Amino acid sequence: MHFEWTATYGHILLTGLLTTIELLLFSGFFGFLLALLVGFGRLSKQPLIAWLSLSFTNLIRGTPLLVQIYVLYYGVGSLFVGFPAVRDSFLWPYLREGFWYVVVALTLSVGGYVGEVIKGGLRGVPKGELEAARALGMSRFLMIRRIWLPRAIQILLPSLAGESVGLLKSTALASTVAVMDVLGAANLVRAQTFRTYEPLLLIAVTYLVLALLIEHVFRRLELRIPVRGAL
Amino acid sequence: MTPGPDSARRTGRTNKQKGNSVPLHQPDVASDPGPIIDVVDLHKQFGQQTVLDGVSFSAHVGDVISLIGASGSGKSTLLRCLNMLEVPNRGSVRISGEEIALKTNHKGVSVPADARQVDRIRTRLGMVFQNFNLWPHMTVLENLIEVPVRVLRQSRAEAIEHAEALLEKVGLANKHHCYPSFLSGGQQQRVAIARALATRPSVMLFDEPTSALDPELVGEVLKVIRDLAQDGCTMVLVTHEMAFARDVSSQVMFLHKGRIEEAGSPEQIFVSPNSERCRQFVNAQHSRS
Ligand SMILES: Nc1ncnc2c1ncn2[C@@H]1O[C@H](COP(=O)(O)OP(=O)(O)OP(=O)(O)O)[C@@H](O)[C@H]1O
Ligand SMILES: [Mg+2]
Repeated sequence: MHFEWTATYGHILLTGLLTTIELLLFSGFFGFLLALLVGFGRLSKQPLIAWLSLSFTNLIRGTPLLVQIYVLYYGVGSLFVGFPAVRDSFLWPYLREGFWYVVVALTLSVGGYVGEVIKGGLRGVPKGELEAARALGMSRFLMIRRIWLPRAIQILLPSLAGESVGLLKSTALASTVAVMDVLGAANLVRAQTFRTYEPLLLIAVTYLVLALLIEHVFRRLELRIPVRGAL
Repeated sequence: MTPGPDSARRTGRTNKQKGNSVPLHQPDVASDPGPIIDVVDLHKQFGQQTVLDGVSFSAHVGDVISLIGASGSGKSTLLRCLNMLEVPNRGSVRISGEEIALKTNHKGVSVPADARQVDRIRTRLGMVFQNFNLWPHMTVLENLIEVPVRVLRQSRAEAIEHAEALLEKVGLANKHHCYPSFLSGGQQQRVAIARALATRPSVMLFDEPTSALDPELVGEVLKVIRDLAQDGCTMVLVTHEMAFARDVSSQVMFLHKGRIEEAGSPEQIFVSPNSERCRQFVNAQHSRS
């Protein structure tokens, strides 16, 4: 095993790490917001909203994430090239980059998977707690914001930790559309140094550390509200 | 059988306030003491099933009205119609003279005409449930100040001060930073009562507050309710605790198949009811306990 190449390529790997973390945070944040819409949409009494949410979930969960990324990057992305208005706009530098296509694809993916998780969590909150909120004078919106959603998230924290680690691992697909994330950087190192195992070993450890970090953060969140019977 | 405004107001109720202590509940002192609750000809159906079939009654300041009756007779439904947790198909509910506006929506279902009005009136009706329904992600204190701060826009300091006083009164001052799951059922229900009192409601509504409790915990909750009654708090209480109902009520209403079969003083209902059904029910309850 030789690691002397890290001196030369260290900054590329660090930039890759930063990119991976950005992918994770952006798609985690926007994906969670989308998942809230999908989760409430699935429980909506309006047939159209319920149907739309279910169709979206089925579409996202029924197709491979890699295919979704390709469709967005090669399909939608190449459509943009045909529009001079888009090409001349200030957004173009971003639209050329694979990064934002991956963020969008991951956001949709989180929306679909976590949306379903959120739906389950919302259902799992005892109805009486919501009824008490309404009975004491809370508006429906306040009840959702102060009771229903926080309770659902409290119930779901262990699942959300798992979904977040899953998202972390999904970010590795970004390298397939030339994004220099951790894996992209490792691939570059491999190509230029002809070293196969060391870069891969290094990034495997990197992902592992990130995953443990995510688990730790969620564990801390869980412990903020003590529950009898839990350790 | 609609009890008139002055019928069966209990005269002998002891208003002994315990020396130096502040009352749990400050009774409303209105210049014109009209009824706080005035219900006229309430009807409620669930699908084909008629659950309330023309109920009328009123409650005045200081009244303690117990609702008794067999399972399925509509006691909970009646109580829940008072704060529109169930919306009656027909009839009217007035709280402190203000009628809750209802309308028929496009599906032909009766719904509140103004959600804001209902929310506002609900803060004047403190409700206590069989299953406590505390919010487990908040501490006891947070449960108590939530509605005063978020809905009534009281300052946090003011809400906390009132909440601490209420916890003191229900004997749980030392539990303010506990989460509900660490409390016994009796303690949780006492917190729930304090939470309902935190908005300074004009009426307290209790739906079988002790039915979910282990027998040894019933007493501590009944004691809090009794203290409230002695402080002059107006309340409507659905209960299977006949001895307690007889003891604290100014009036008892016996519900049967969605109607008030008989209403009157506790003595009348428990000793010499006019209705044969009421007599049978009371006797059966008596021999059970
Ligand atoms: N949301 C609902 N949907 C359909 N039916 C209902 C609903 N709520 C109550 N009912 C029915 O209405 C009837 C009266 O119910 P209610 O809860 O008012 O009775 P109760 O007198 O409180 O009985 P208990 O002593 O068992 O609590 C019952 O037959 C019940 O099944
Ligand atoms: Mg009931």
